[in-house]
Amino acid sequence: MTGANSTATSRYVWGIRIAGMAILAYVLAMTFAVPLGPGLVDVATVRQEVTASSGVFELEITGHNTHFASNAPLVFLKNGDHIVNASAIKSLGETKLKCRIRVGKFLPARSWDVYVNNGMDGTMSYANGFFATDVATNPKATTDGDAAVLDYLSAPNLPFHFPFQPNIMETIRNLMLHVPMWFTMFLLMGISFAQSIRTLRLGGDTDRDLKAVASVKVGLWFGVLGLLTGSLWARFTWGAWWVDDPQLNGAFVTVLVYAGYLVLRASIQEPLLRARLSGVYNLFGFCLLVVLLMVLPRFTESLHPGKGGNPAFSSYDLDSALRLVFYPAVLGWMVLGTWMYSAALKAERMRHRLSEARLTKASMPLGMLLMTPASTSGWEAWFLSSGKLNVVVGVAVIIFAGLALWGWRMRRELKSLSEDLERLKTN
Amino acid sequence: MKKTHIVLLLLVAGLMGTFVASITSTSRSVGFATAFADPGTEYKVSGTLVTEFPVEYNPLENTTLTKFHLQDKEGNVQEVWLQEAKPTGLERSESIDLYGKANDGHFHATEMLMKCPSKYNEQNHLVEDNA
Repeated sequence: MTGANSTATSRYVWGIRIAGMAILAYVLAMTFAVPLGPGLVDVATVRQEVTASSGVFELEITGHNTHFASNAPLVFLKNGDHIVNASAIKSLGETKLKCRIRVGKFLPARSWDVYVNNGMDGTMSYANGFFATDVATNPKATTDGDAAVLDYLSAPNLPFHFPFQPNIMETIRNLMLHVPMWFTMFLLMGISFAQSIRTLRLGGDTDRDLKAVASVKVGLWFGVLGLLTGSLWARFTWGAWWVDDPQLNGAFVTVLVYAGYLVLRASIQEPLLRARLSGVYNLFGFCLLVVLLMVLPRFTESLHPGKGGNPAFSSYDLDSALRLVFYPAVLGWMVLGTWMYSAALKAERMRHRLSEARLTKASMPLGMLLMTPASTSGWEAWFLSSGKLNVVVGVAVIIFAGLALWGWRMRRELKSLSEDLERLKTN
Repeated sequence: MKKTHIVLLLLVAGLMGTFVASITSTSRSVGFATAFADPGTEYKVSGTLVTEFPVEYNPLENTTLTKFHLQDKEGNVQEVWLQEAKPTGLERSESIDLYGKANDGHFHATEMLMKCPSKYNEQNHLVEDNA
C-alpha cells in the first residue's frame, strides 16, 4: 500500500496519514519507553516465633521498580487506626528488603496492610499482606506503633511514569494497544453503517456498497486482533484465556455477525441484490454491535474494566501520564484504520470491475480459529517475568503480525487484481 | 445460494445464539446458599476475600491446594478449597469469581478469576488503601 493511487488522493489526505503515522510512532515509543512506577509485588513471612507473651515475624518484601537500596525505606503495618512499626529494616538490593515485626500478647486484628515508604518511591502498600498466624486477637488490644508515620505518606518523587497497579503491573501498557483496536473497529463499522444507509436510500448503489464491504473487512481485522490481544492480556491478569463474560462474548458475537455479513455477500452473485440484502443485514449488524459491546455489558457482572454497572469510556479513570499516550494512540490507530480502508476499497473496486467483466466469484474471507494451548510452566514464566512486561510484547507482536499479514495479503491482492485488469484490457 | 454458504450462515447463527444465550444465563453468579443447597453441582460464586481468616498454602504438602474464606454477595462466609497454587495478589484482590462445587462443608473451586482494578490511577490507589 505505497500510495500507487496518489493522483486520486489529495495532499490533504496524505498530510493526515503522515501525521497519523507520526502520532503512532510517538505512541509506540512512549508505550515501551516510559517506566512503570514503583509498587509492591510480594510480602512473605519467612520466619516466625510466637510465644505465650509475644511474637516476632520476619518479613521479606519484594518490589517492582523500587529504590530500596538507594533510599532507605520505612515499613509499617496498618489496620484501621492501629499501626505497627517494623524494625531492623535491611535492603537487599533495590527491589528486596527484610524487616522484623514485634507484637505483644494480643493484637486487635490478624490481617494487616503492609506499607513501605521512602523519599523516592513514595508510599506503596500491599493490602492484607501480613497475617499474624497464631497470635490471639482482642478488639480492645492496642499497638505501640507511632501514628506519625502517616504524616510521611507521599506520591512517588519520580519523573514521568505510568501508574503501578497490583496484578496489572507492566501490562497497563496494553491500554495503548488493545483498547484502540476496538475504537478503530467501531469507527470502521460506523463508516460501513453510514455507507449501507446511503446504499439503501439510493435503492442499491454499488459503489457505496463497495465502501461498506471494504470498511467491514478492515474493521473485522481489527476486531480479531482485539480478541487475540485481549485473550493474551486476560490470561496473565484474570487467569484465563477466555472468560464466560458478557463483554468478551459480546465482542466475539459481534465479530461473528460481521463474518456472517461477508458469508452472506459471497453467497449472492447479482450485484444489486447483494448491495440491498447485505445493506439491510449491515444495519442490523451495527445495532447488534452497539447493544452487545456498549449496552448489554453494563447491565451484567463483568470482569472487564469499566463494565458491570459503570458507563464505559468515561470511567477509564486514567492517570495523566496514561492520558498523554492513550488519546493519541486512539487517534493514530484510527488514522491507520482509515488508510487501510482506502486500500481495501481500491481492491474492492478493482474486484468489482473484474467481476463485472468476467462475472467471477468473490473470494471467501480468511477463517480464524481460537485455540487454547496446553499450559506449560516455561513459557508462562517468560510472560510473567519482569512485572509481566512480556505480555505487552506479546500483544504488540500479535498486532504487528496481524497488520503485516493484512498488508502482505492486500499487496498481493492488489497486484493480482491489477494484472488481471491489464490482461482484460489487452484481450 | 450454494450449499456451503447456507451451512456457514447456519453455523454463524448457531454460534451467535449460543453466545447471546450465555450472556444472560451463565455469567450470573450465585450465592453460597444456592451452591450448598445443591452439593456436587458446578456453580459460579463471586465475592471478596475475608481477611479475618488466614490464606493457607503449604507448597511442601500440596502445591495445588489453597484454602481461604470468601464472603459472597449475600454476606455468607464459607471456606474455599482452591485446587490451584496460591495466586499472586490474592490478598489484595478487588473481587473474586470462583467456579466449583460445594462438598463436605467446603466450596471446592477448580478455577479462580480475579477482577483487576478498573481505575488506572495511582492517586486513587493511595486513597483507597488509606480509607
